[in-house]
Amino acid sequence: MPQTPLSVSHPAVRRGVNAGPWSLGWVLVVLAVLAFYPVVFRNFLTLGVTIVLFAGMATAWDVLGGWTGQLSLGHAVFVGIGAYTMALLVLRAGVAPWWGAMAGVGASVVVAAMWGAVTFRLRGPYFALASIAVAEMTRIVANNWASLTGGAEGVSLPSLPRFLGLDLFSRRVEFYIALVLLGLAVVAASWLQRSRFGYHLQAIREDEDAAMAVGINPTRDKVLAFLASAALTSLGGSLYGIFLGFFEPRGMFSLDLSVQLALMAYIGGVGTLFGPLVGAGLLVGGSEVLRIYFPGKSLFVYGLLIILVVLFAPDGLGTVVRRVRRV
Amino acid sequence: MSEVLRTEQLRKLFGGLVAVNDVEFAVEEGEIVGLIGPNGAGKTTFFNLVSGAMRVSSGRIFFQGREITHAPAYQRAELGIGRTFQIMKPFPRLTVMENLLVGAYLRHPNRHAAVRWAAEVIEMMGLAEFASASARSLTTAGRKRLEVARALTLSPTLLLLDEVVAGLNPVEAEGTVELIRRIRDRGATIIMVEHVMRVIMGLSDRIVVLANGSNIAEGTPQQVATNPDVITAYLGTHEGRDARPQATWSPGTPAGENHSARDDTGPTLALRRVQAAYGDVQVLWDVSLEVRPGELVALIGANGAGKTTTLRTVARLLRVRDGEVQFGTNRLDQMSSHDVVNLGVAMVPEGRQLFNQMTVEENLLTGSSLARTRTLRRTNLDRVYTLFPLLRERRRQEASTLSGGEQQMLAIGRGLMSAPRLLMLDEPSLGLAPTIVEEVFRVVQDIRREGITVLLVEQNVQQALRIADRAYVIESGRIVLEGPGPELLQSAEVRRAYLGI
Repeated sequence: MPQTPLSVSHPAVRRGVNAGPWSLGWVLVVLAVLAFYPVVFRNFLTLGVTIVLFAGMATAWDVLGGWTGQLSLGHAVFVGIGAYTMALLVLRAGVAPWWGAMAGVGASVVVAAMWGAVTFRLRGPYFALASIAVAEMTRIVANNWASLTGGAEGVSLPSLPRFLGLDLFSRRVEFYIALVLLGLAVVAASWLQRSRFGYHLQAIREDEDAAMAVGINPTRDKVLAFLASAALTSLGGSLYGIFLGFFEPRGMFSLDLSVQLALMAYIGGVGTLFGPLVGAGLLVGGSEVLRIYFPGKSLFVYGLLIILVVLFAPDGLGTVVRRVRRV
Repeated sequence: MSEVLRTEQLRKLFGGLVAVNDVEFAVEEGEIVGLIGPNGAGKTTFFNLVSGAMRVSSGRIFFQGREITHAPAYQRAELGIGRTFQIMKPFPRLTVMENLLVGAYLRHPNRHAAVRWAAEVIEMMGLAEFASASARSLTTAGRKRLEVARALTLSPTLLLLDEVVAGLNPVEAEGTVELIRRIRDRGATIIMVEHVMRVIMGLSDRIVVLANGSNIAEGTPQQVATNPDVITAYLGTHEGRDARPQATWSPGTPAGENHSARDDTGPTLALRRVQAAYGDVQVLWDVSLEVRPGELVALIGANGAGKTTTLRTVARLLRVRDGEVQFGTNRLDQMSSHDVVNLGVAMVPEGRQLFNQMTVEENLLTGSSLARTRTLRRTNLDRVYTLFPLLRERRRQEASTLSGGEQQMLAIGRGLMSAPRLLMLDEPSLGLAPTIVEEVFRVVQDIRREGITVLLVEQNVQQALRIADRAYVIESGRIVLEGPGPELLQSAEVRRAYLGI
């Protein structure tokens, strides 16, 4: 090698590869600030749980949708599997909800593995289309297999054992569990930002042919990303089930829910650490505010806002912050 | 010396088209092999087969003695086959450094080592100053270097370079040539596809010539450059049948009289010192040419010389950076593209660009959608159907169901529907069988006999020069030669422009 190698600490090189430790620092700062929410807004705890919980699930969605570039419009399947596995094990077998949630993760991973192995051979929009189909099928099965799921009547959780001495139906407890989940998802994302596996996923997102040409096996890596995304989403689903206390297949497996998760990530900025959090805050908080100030017209205004964001911040609101900071 | 790559009876079919036809090919360790051939010869397809981006239709591929015919692309990369893409495929939103890191991780799973190796490659490729820029912000020259750099991060045993020099300015090209030598000296074996003949003749130890998917010649640069088969492949075949049956559609014009319909009162197309560029890549540097009313003028030159770009600047599909394009008294360079069509300048684009889902007749009618020609569409339609009776028969058929030759006729017909005074044809014979090529050239002459001025861009140089009144030779964006068609046919300069000798 005739050239003297550039030092790894060379500034251009350092700037060229994402400064990982820093972003992890930001994650901790943001989570710490959020931890004060229940103290400051003690009257808006339900709203807070919803925002943080959806932020966690949207960030989980983003592992596949944003970092790997595979648009899923069927992630409600994992929300539903998480909620139902947990609830049914609690009701029918007397299993503790946290073990039920773990079982839900297992079930979601199995489903994602089969689903991914089949549909990731498809390129382009076909995975997205297939994801809608899978979610609808799951919803119909859950709706009609009444002996297992309770069918359209839904299930309700009358009481739950205490978790480490905490009441799981307390909004405050739910908030902090949701925050831990969000933390898990964001830390996972910050690892994707700079790890070998993360670069594989980003390369697949950017150009699959070129990714293969540098030795990446796209099908395998997409499936792995899908498994991680499904597992995290499923945890969120279990918590969502507890949060609601009562739910039915129509809500849990709905296309609406799937689209919402995707929309949050897009509005906030896909493939960014905090984009899904920003998106969840805006969409959940926004729809709440709109319901109060524009009764009856809130969905119209909501739609208008989404259009505005897409027009003026097509890369997500999170990137606007970055742009402003650069100027 | 050991064999790095060998293909046996390698074949690739696209539908009925044989893109790569039983190619037998072997490369020794440490060689630089140039792969050349006219457009559509199958060079990039061959690369796609070797790198695994496409599946073979039949035949076998061996890499270092091991069969890889059915191995997926990522396994071949792991084994040590690196490639660049002719249509560049960077990871646009990643930084340049990250683009290289992705590949570096393949050989160095440890992050520190991977960053170190990527930094080394970035330095060697002269991309260090762009390390933190996103790949999409690079110029074409920068992206081409990034393509090579990314392939190098794999420490490839075999490197496939697909047109990494074309489109670079002379200084950049020189730099890349130097770099390719350095890469070879470090032990890589290289196969390169390149249209810049000076480069490939200078770099290659051995050259393989593909034409219509087949390996037609092989040897040292000198042997290949003087091989008559190669010259024919590049310059087109001379069929030698001058007594062609005459056209049937313009009874008013005496047949066989080449210049009878010249109408000296029409407008003249004049380009004066035209410069044009795609983004940062300047393609036309100094193009001046004239097409007088009633003339048939051919514009010839190697791939990438700027022929299509010249036509595009006339049609105003591309902005003129400097210079003038005049048609009669009108400045085309200051007009919009539809105004240019309205003035009577039509273009039949390369690759035909038909509306595949529409019928033949619908395709034709789109050609006369402007105000000037709208009222005349029935008359024009009849004229086109007279010229191409086959199109009348198939007028209800979808354009996609036509054969290649018929599609070309349809594209020409669509151009005629705007009742042009000047018709520009871009590679009308490209990818057609020899008998159809003959027919296309006959049609071009018929059109000219109608009194329509023709500016013709052609790969098939011999045929084009034979029917042209005058011709221009373009090389690297500059007109280097002008003269009567038949005279240029004998010119050594034409051969030089095409073969770089």
